[in-house]
Amino acid sequence: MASDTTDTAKAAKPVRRAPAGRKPRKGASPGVVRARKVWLWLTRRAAFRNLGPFVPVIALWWLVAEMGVFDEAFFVGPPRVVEEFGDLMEKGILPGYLTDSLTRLAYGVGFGLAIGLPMGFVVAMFAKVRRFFWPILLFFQAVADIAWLPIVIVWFGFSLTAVTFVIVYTIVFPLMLSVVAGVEQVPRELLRAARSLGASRTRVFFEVILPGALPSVAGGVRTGLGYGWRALVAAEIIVGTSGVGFMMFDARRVGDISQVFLGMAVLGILWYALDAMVLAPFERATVERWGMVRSLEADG
Amino acid sequence: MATERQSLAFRAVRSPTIRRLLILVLLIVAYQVWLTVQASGKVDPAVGDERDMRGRFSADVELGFPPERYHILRMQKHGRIAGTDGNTVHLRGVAPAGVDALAREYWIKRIVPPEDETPAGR
Repeated sequence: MASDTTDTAKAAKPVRRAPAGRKPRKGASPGVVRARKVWLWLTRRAAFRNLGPFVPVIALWWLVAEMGVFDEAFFVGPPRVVEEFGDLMEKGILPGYLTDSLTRLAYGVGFGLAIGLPMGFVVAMFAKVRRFFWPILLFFQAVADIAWLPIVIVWFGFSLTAVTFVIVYTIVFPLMLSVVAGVEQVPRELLRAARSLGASRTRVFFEVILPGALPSVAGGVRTGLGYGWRALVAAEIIVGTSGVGFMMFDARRVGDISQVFLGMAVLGILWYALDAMVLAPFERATVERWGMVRSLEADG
Repeated sequence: MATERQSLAFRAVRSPTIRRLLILVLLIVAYQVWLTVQASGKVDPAVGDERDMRGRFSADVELGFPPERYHILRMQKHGRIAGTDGNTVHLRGVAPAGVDALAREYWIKRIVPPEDETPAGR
């Protein structure tokens, strides 16, 4: 009996096996084994995984600049950009422009989400509304945000309203399409089951449709924000009198390439930080919480 | 119910995303506090002694560097630019609230009354 219990316990204990290809080869020198251990340790660190890929890119950028392949008037290296960063921080220009850009983005995203989410659910849930709006939705999805800028400038002038309009426009349509896709993913049998158990339409929406559509909605929010960020920079270049996009374009006008490089780096870093720290975990958590249920049931 | 609420709050605090957002909010609050702290003592007590009928006055804004387009545009929100002299920008028609707002800009070193005591608003 005791032996049986021990055997069961042994069987239940998960066996950790070394992944294929990771086992050090027989006869490998201690140096190789040690290097492999360091590499494995590094790849488990989030900071290394997030920032590591940029090391060769920056090294290549630095190398090209140092080799003098291009004239300094057209191409500057990382040290010059870092110097420019310090200068613009000291003069308050970069924080000021960044604040302007982020404020515009916040307005655009706020209005975009407030319009896109309810409209997406309305279009997704009412067949007649959907039949009417679907061609319009696809039509405007195809009209690029930049294409609106000339008429938006005529309507609203070089103002915050013009920039906000473009960002809202950019966010709303991908978000609506994601919401429609999310609602379509909700299994019909769940809806029927909820209805047959006496759930009201409101309850079905809040307890079945909304949670079921959340993974797709989270993906739509992430995609929409990415489009909005790009639209912001484009709008600032053409419409703006401030902001990071304006800073880059104004620097080009006066021939200060380092500010253009700095602007690009700042835009990339900010978006990467926002995506890696907030949006991607939010999407992952939503998918893990709501999106895997059906596949796990199917696996089971 | 109370336990449920506690566990929800506890889970929220333990969430890495929420923690990052809280750190971000703390950094923004700290930056705003620093702006307020560094603004104190920047404005000369004599600024605003000579006011026009609308209660506005002239002021010289000293920067640690020659002003650029960005700085001129920012200062234009709070008064009329009457010219620049090295690192100093001469402002006219500044309201008291404008002086407070300018003092919060960390790139401004000092705000002093204009050297030539001309009546404000000219």
